[in-house]
Amino acid sequence: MKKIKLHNGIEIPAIIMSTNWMDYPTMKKIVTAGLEIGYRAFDTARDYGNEHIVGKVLQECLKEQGLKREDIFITTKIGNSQQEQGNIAEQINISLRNLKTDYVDCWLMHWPYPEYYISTYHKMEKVYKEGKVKAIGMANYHIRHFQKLWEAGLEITPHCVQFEHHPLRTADDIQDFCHKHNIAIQAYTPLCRMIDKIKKSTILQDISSKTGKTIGQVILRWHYQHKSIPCFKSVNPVRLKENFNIWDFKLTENDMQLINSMNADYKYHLESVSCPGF
Amino acid sequence: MIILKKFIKKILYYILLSPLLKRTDWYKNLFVKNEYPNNDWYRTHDERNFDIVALGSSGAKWAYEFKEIKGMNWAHAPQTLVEDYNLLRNFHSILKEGGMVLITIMPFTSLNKKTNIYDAIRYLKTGAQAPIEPFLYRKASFYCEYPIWFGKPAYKALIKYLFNIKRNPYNNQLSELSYNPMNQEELEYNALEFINGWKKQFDISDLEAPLTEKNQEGRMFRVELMRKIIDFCIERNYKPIYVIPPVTQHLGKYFTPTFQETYIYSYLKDVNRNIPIIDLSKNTSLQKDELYFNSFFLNQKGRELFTKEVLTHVMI
Repeated sequence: MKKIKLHNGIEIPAIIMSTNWMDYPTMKKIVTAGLEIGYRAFDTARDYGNEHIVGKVLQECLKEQGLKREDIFITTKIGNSQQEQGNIAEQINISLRNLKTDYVDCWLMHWPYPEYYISTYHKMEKVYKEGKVKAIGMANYHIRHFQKLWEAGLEITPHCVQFEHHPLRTADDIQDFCHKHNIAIQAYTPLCRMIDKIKKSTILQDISSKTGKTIGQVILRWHYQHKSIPCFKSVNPVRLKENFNIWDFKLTENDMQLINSMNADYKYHLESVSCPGF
Repeated sequence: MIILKKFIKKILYYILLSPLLKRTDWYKNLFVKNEYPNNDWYRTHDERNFDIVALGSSGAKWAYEFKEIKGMNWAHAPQTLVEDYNLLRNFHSILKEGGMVLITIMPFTSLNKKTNIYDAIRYLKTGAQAPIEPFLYRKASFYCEYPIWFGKPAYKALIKYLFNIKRNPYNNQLSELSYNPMNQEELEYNALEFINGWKKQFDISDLEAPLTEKNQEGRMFRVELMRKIIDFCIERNYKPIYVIPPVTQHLGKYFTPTFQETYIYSYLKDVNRNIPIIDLSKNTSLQKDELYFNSFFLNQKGRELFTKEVLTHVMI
């Protein structure tokens, strides 16, 4: 499995499977298939309401496939209601119990929840120092949130940032910020849900024909080549296999630029709907 | 026996009353969902990066008609400034970078109005996360499920529907007209009704007099709230713009220069935020009766003209 090194030396697999909103039977089927294919990173969050199912499934699947905890990478996130409660140090213990593990590889703040996100980050720094999480970071930040956090002061530069990122949203400002501070990028909705603007893009269709790969594979390769770690969800084992088959071809610099040119600042998910006051 | 009575009542409600009630203008106006970019909407619509959204109360609801640009009118009637702010907090991500937020200023925008059950119901149906107040939220949820329990207004609406009485100025069909169905006498009477309603609502005896102590207190709250709305927009790189729409001269004659200074312009000065103002309140070409469906609200033709004029000012 290809890996990317975080600024503290921790390595993260270059492609992540999301488990959001999956029930036990679906997740068991998908995680079993994913581990067999070669996936080693899994994304969840307290707000998905199934952290405990992720824990159960991973424990069972690791045993069944003869793998160890350290063979996989788990990302989870702290939600807005937990930020509001403020007991961040206790919240990680709940996540650890849910996930049936004694550490989380990457712990993200799910949203820059207004009025809370700066103090939440400072509390996350303390948890990181205790060793219960191997890396910390945040999701869904805009530059203005980073600026406020930096102005407030921080001890530990975030290791990882997750945001909606795909050819229709290159988010150059956030990418530049992350590169400048050596922060790794996780991309959610990395295929932009394959909406028509993606499926019918002549740029992607041409590159797909030229490389003999699907549009999905082309986009995932684009992510990999610019050091963005795609985090996608599929409940179809065939699609999982297809999405993992992106290591045997390379996009040219021109292909990369053409895909970048599709940027329209298009966000599938409306941030303020999930986080009022965002 | 009691259980049986309750059961019969429920059956009667679901079989007879509920379908009838849903056909009334009262129900359609109060309970039918408007289009807001909430969780359901964005998963079924591809459009993003809107150019413009409009906030405001009843006057704003019937002021805008966005056709040639990507715009949404989030005003419903009635709507308080608190709801304006909440709607913006919940749905602003639909706007493009640099998008515009039209903050519609009506004659009594500067006065504090407590959120009531009608506001709560209208707000609830937007699908926004943050409720108004827990008590009102629960009450509004109940009425949304069982509108017949609203009592008198529901019965009145049913009677009006059954006897085909359509005199309600909020009637959706009226607002779609391209002419004013009221004659001069009716317009005068309608304007006076609005004025008397507002005087009663805000406890005002003389529109030319300075603000009452109570209204001054309300003003202070609204000054702070308006600052929050504007600062929220600016921090997110949107362009907030005040828009003061016109009304017919039947109603406009009550809004004298003294009134406007006391209730509108001094309020905006107190807010003390340097943002553009599109003041069309005394634009005579937009005050013609034919552009309204009563003395206050623009009809289809009026909305199109007014929106065109606003967009010309913001140079789209």
